[in-house]
Amino acid sequence: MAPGWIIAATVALMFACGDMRQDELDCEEAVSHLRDCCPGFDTNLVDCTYFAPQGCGTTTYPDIPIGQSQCISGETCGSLVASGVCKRMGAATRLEPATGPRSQFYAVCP
Amino acid sequence: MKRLALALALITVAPRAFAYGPDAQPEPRLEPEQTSDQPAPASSSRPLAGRLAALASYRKLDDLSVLGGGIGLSLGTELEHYAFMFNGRFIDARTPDGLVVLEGGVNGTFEWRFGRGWSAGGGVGFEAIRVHRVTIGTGDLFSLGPMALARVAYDFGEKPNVYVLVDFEAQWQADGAVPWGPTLYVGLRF
Repeated sequence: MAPGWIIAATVALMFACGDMRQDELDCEEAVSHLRDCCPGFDTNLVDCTYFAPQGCGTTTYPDIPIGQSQCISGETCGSLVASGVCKRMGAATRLEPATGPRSQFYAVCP
Repeated sequence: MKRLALALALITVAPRAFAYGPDAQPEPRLEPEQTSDQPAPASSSRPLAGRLAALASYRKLDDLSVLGGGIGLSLGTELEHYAFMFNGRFIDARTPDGLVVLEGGVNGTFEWRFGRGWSAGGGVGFEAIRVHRVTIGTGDLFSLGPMALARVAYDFGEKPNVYVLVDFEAQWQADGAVPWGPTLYVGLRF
């Protein structure tokens, strides 16, 4: 019979709690990169939150999907400016989508 | 009855009376013998021990590389061939694009001491990670989860001494995130 503390430790080891989604992390990293590279870029116009309501409601995804986030983070500042990503991102953040996910409007990386 | 008591008293006192007579030498006082039970001088075999260190860490968090620095404190029992330590630490780290990542946790470790300053072991514990958002999103990204580590340490001389320790760890965080990587400690063992 295993001691109680071994059982408790085993159960505890099986669980983690909180929020550490990769799409949110990558979105935040991409926005941080844009902040450094794009003059005047307003990070407060982007929402990188994932939210899945209990029961009814619509799941909210980060404004910038993983593919776009990784593309943005992988580009140099010079490339982001030269390829127009900064300009498109600045324009996209000023739009509010009528329908559909906001990420449709944030497909800015070549 | 009185005679019996007197006889017993004489038997008890007489040897002392002879011994402390005019020509008697004082009985030598016995010094306590040195035995192996005597506490040893301060050395590495002292059971209570601690470590205080500055640390540098590298973590792979999903596809992000996170570099950080911080402080660690360990307290525990250190015997001749092994040690149990309770460890705590705090790390302030950054991603390549400057996201602030704070990490803190506690763990317990078992270490074998091989002599010549080397020791190795492993342990388990819990680690918390907080990533500060730069966007409008509400609340920071936060996760608390279990972790496991393996470690190698080297002590330069006897306590108190400088030591170097390397942990290699993996964490099991929320949403399937598995931050992993090494942590280098340089500090004082006491």
